[in-house]
Amino acid sequence: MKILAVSLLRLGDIIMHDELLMDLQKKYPKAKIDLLINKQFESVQSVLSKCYQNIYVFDRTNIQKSLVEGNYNIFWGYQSIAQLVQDLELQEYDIVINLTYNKLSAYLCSLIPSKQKNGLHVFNNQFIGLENPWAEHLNHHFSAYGRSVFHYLEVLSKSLGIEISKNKEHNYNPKSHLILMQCLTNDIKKNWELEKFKKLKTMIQNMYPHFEIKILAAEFEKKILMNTFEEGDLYICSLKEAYEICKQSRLLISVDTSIKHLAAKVNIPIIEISTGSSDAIKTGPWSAASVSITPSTSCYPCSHSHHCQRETIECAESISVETVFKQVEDVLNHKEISLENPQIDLEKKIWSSYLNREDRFIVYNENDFEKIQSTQNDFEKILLTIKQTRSLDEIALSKENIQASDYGFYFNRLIQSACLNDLAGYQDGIIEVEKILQMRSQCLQEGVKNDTEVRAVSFEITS
Amino acid sequence: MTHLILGPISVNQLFAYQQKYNSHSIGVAVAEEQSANEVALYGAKVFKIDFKENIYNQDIYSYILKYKPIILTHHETWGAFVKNYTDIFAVLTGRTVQSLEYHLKDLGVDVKISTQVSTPSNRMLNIKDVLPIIQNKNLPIEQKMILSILGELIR
Repeated sequence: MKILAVSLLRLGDIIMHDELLMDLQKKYPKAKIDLLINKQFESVQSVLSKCYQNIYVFDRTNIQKSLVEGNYNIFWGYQSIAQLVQDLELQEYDIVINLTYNKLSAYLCSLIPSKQKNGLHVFNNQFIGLENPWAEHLNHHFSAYGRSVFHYLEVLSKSLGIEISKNKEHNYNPKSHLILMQCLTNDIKKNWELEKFKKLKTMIQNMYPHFEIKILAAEFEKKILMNTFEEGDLYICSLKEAYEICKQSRLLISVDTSIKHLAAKVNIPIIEISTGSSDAIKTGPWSAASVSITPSTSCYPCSHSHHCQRETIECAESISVETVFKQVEDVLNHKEISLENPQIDLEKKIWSSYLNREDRFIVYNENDFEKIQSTQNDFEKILLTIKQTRSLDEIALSKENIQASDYGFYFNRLIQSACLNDLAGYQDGIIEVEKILQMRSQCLQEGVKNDTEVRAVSFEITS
Repeated sequence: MTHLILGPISVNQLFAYQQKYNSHSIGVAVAEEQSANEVALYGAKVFKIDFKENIYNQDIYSYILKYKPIILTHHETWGAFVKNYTDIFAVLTGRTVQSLEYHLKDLGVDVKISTQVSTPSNRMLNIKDVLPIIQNKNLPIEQKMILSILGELIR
C-alpha cells in the first residue's frame, strides 16, 4: 500500500504530524509512506522519523513570489504545481491523506490520483471531508478564536480515523545534568521576559549547582539573547542539533516554539510557558511528560492574527519565576507530572460522545469520582455532591435533541450550577436536553459570553 | 532552463549567476547583433533575438512556453538596445496581453484577453488579472484546480 501524507503547515505542525504518521506506520507496517511538506521547512527531514520513503516539497514561497514579482513568468507557479503533481502521479498512491485542513491542500490532494482520499479534498466542485463531526470540530474550533478541550492531534487523528497514542513512558534521563531553555518565539505575545528566564536560571543554579543550563537559539537570535545572557550560556544550533541535545537533557523549559515538539518526540520532561496566542490545550507538547503553565488573564489565549491590545503583555507578566521554578523542582525531584484535570476530562467525554454521535453521554464513572474527591474546586465539589446522591451513574441526552455544537460548554456550566443549587434541575439522574438548549438560547439572546454570566443564567434556569 | 538572462554577460558573470541561483540550466538571450559565444562554450543555452521580427515566431518563445524561466535583466550590456530589451521583458514573462494569449493557448485556452482586460498598455499583467477570466472557461478540472491553488496563494 502506498500512502501520501500532505502536511502543508508550519514546522511544529509537521513535527506533530510525524507522531500521527509513525502510529499509522505501526498499524500498517508494510505501507510505504511518502510525505509532502512546504519547501521552506525541508530541513525538518533531519528530525523526522524514518518511516518515509520519499519526502516531496511544495515550493510555496517561490510560487507566491512568482505571483507578485515581475521577472517570474506569469505561469511559473502554474508550471511548478503541474510539475509536482506530475511527479506525484507517477507514484500511483493508494491513499492520499490530507493532514492540512485548508482549501489549498484540498485542491492539491484532489489533483493527485489515488484510490482513496482521506481528509479535506474536492470532488465534483464540492469540498469533501468536513462531514465527519471531528473534522467539523477541527474546522470550527481550531480557528482564531475557537475553543476546544482537545489537543490538535487528538482531533486530527479522530477526523482522519487514524489512532494516535501518547507515550506514557517518560524519558527522565536521570544521569543527565543538562537543562535546556528555549526563550524566544517569532511572536512577541508568546515570549516570556528574558530577564525572568535569567532569574529562573540563577535560581536553578543556586539550588542545583551541579546542573548545567543552556539557552537554545538559532543564529539569528544570538544578538538579542546576548543582551541578557553570556555568550557561553548559549547553544547556537540547527534543528537537528537541537533535537540531538534534547535527547541528552533532563528538562526543557520552553515558550511556544517547534522545539517543544522536538522535545516531546524524545519524551523528555517539558515545562511550557504558554502565553498570548499559544493555546496549551490545543497545541501544547504531545507528551505525557509535559506540563504547561498558563496565565489567568481573561484574554488568554488570544488570536494569532491580532496584536496584543494591552499596554504590556499582561499574560506573560502574570506568570512568575517562582511558579516556573516550582515546576522545575518537581521535575528535578522526580515528582510525577500530573496532567489530570477532572473538569477538562469531563468536558472531553461530553464532547467525544457528541462528536462520536453516541446515543448516550456517559459523563463519569467511579474512577473519575476518586480523582475528583481529592480536589477542592467548585466543579469537583459539585460532582462529589452528585456522587453522594448515588442516583447518577450517567447523564443521558438524546441524540436527536442535540443541535447546538457548543452545547458541551453550556452543559458543563449547567452541571456546575445545578449541583451548586442542590441538584435542582436533575430528575432521577437525567439532565434534560431542553434545559441545556434553553440555557444556550438564553445566553445567546442576552449576548452572554463569559463564564460568570453563563453560570448566572444556568443558576437561574436550574433554580 | 530555470533562468534566462536578458543581455550579454561574461563567463565570470555566468558562473556568478549559476552560483547565486544554484542552477546550471541558465539561458542567455541577446540581440542578433550582440555576441554570446563565450558563455555558449560554458554550457549556457544562447538565444539570438531579432528585434525586427515577430518574437512569437522565434526559437526563444517555444523555450519560454516550455520552461517558463525567471527572466533576469542584465542592463549593463543592453547598450543601444535598451528599449528593445525593456519591451521584450514583459513579453518573455507573459505579462503583456498578446504574450498572455500565447501562454494561454499553450495551456489549451483559446481566449481573447484584449477584449476582457482593461489595463494601461504599459502595465504588466499579473495573475489577478487572469484568474477571473480563465476560471470561468471550460477548462479541464485539473487545470482549474491548479488555478484555484494560485488563487488561494494570492489572497
